Amino acid sequence: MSSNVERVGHIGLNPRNREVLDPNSVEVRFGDPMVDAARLLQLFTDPETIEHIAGITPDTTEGEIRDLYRNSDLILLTAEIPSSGLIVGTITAQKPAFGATAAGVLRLAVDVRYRGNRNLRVGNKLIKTVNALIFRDASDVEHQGLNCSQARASVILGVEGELKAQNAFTREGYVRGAELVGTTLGWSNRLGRIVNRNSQPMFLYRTWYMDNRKEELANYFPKPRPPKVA
Amino acid sequence: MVNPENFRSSGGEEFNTHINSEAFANGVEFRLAEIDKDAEELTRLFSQSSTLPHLSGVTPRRLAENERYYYDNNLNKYPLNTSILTAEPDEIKKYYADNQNDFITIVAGDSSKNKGKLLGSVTVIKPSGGLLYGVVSKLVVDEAARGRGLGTSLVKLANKYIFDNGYWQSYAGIIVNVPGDEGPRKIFAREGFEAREPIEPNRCISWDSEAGIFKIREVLLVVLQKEA
Repeated sequence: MSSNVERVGHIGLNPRNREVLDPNSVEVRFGDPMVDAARLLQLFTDPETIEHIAGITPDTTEGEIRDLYRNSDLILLTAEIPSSGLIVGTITAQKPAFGATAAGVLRLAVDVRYRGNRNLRVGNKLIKTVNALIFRDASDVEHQGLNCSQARASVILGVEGELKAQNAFTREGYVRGAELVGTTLGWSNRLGRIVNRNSQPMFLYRTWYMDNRKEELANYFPKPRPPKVA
Repeated sequence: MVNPENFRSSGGEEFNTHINSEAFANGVEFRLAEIDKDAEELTRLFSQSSTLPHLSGVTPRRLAENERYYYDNNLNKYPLNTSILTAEPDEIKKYYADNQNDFITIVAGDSSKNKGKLLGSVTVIKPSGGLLYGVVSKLVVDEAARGRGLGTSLVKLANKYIFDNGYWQSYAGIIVNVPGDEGPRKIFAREGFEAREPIEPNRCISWDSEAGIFKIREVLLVVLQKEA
């Protein structure tokens, strides 16, 4: 187990990992893929997560994670425990392509030791925050959002936990689109190799968000990355 | 990490040979775009007033700061919040250079009297990040060369590239409720693409040639699945 994960023990999780930390103890920030690659690799390649992240295998390297994020269209967000700097979850927004007004939501991953914690709600916070980033007005100089008309996520099907993953999005107002057949390459723990998976597109429309979640624009925008300590 | 090479049935280099063998009977040669040579002609094709409304995010001229808006059908104005491509040779060269690993462009060249002239073009956006569908994009045909099946041939070749490279689906987004949208709808339907209803509102912006502004558009997604 990595040193980062071992550090979890020092912040006082009880053995059942339930409701130990207060809800404000996790912050969602803008990440830096060049710096955070090692931790992202740990999160993505965890056996309980790897099947949910397209294109990742147990052999994926830190360098390959950095390569994935060299595309300047991608905005990495990380959920961190400020006191320790430990990243306990991540999500990525993809800026709209040429002329498009829909942003992508990719690579949601939460440290397994922090899942199901009703107090922390790491995954939920990540989704709320990426939504705020996607729908916030771009003209707000302090918080430059993407001001999109739609957010689009995609959940890999045929893997354990697919329904939980879908529910995490539907709880936040995402609706299911038509299932895509065989369009995703994903790891199979059972077969020990990459397989073609179906995926479930999920859409969140700006109109619904503004009618039902508008207050989150102010409360959930990602925080800036803290300056590096020398 | 997944290596897409493991999933390819044939490499991209072979593709050039494939498409040259698909030469059109009446003086059309299909080839991969050579951007330094083709930028002027691609600019001309993209700038056709009948073509611009079908191209997501393409503008026929540089926009001044006070023009950087798009409009809905009630002419409410919103700040431009997406990347746009100006149809000018230098911009097109930069766009292709910046994205050369992400897509390929197939052009239909006039091989008879007017060497160097392009009659049409299509771009295939390659999948990334573990996805397996290619996107057929920026399908354009010279106004004077329409009705000869060029668009259909370009879509066929785009599909060939996608499926020869081991990808599973070919995808396209057709901007609808703009003049001439029946053209691409027919082409993709003829090639076996299935429509993914419902039409998606507010999906992209495209140029309104008459009004000279960007408008928010509805898009119909169409999908072709690789044959088993």
